[in-house]
Amino acid sequence: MPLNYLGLQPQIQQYAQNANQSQAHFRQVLENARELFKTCASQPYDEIRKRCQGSGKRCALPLGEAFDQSYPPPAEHQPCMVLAADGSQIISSPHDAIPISLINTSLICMNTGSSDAPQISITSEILSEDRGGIEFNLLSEDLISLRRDVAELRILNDWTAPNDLPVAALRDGPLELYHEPRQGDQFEREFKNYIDGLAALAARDFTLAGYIDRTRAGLLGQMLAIYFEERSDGLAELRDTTLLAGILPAGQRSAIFALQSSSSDNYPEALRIHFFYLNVSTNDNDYIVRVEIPAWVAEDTDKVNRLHALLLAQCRIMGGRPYPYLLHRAHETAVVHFDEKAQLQDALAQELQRQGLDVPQPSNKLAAKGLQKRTRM
Amino acid sequence: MANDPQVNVQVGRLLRANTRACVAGCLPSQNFPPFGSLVSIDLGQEISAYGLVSDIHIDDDGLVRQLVTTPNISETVIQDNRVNRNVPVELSVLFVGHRSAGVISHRLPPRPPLSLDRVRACGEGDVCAFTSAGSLGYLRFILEAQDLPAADLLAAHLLQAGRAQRDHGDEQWFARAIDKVITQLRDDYVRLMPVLEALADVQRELGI
Repeated sequence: MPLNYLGLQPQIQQYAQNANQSQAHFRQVLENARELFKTCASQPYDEIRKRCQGSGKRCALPLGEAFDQSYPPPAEHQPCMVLAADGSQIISSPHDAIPISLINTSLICMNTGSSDAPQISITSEILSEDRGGIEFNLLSEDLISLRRDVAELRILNDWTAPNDLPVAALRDGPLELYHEPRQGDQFEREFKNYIDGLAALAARDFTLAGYIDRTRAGLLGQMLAIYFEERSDGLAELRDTTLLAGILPAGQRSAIFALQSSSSDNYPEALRIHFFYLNVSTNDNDYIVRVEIPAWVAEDTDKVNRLHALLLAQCRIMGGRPYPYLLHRAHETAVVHFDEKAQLQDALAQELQRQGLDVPQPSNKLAAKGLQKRTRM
Repeated sequence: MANDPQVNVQVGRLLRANTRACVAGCLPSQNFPPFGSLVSIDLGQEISAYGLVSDIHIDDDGLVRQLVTTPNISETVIQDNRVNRNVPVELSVLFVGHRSAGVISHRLPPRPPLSLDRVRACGEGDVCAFTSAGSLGYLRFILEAQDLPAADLLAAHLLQAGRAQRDHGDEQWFARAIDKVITQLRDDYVRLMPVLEALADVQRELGI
């Protein structure tokens, strides 16, 4: 059945009216926030950090850089190796004939000083249970996502450098695990694997970064709300990208902040997550993204500068819709399409049959959904 | 033919086919055969199909469309799109004959090739052997082809074949081919004129 457009019409109008009202309120909040942001930047950073840490809330912690300033990219960009890793997954469904979980991870590697085509490698892994057999039981989506994050770090760590150039490693999305270490042995084990993966990248001195396009974070607003407790109306809901729009010129980055969150204490000091904002636009239409970096990158000016220049160069490749080219290519090579999942399930069914095992049927619900739609004569 | 060094150059593999034509895919990074050139496809059982490259198609996708708007695309990105991305150059091939047990025939192959069969560029020896066999009857496939630039396809083919025949000592082959074309189109003045115009250019290029 199509949508009930007649019934939706008043709701569409109401939606726009609500948006209009919230915009008016929002403009006031933004004006206040920008004033407080400037005032806050002139306060002692130790005091800001102390208050924020005392609150225990998820927010930004200022470091040494003046945070009401913006920072231009370095004038020169030395050649380096750029790696981008991305993963996708098949999440098992109880309706499938053969419910399987799979992680597909891709790595693409480009030498910025060479005109050679980038190198691509792909790793596909059917998830297995503890004793080494294929997992026939359903795995939770969170656990599969966590395993995918671990696999992305593993494919970066498995890469062998062909030369002595510095290496920048990019991932799509935050470095902080939002799946967080939950209860249970499996989660704890995978979280430890993730931390080990980060530590191995630190040992190899990679410039690691997580690129977050269209971030909804309000870490700066929350910092202001904590510091100016009595004038905090609406600040915690304000997105950082909105706060920084018009303040952060095209091509420039914000100051680097440390991330305070409920999971911060689970990261060793050298791996703690930091971040900065970057305006990747080339014109007046600001496009601000968040870049997460671990402490060992945040504390190294050369690495930050390299990352800054590199991300801008990667975004320029994509023209009017800036996004790091290599991250897009890593996604393109990692993504598992529906027909590929079907082919894999066919291959598994054939092998089960060959080994004299019964091949289960998909659920009746799934079979009904797959019925061919009515077509013309 | 077996001694012709160019005869074994693989240019692509078959994507789809019917009894009259096929489409092969090849990497954008490789040297693919030019429009109008003769290619062969081994069908097994000592049978090969012969065809002319009648169209070369280069597809785009969303990423390529976005990248073309970017000034100064780096060579790495160009190579990435040509070498790594799964967008093949598609060569359309019009069948013009076949070889069975060593005998060349200017009739359609007995069956079309199958998916992923190798498509090879024909070397000069192969071109001479194919175009000398019989009485140029295969030219009808070009002249009768629908939705193809027949005059230009014929001109491109006669240029390749004319050169090969001349280099192998047959100076009269091109003239015989033109006679054949005129005979075939003698009752169709509207189609004959653009064909002759295209062939006049070929004649100049061949220096005949």
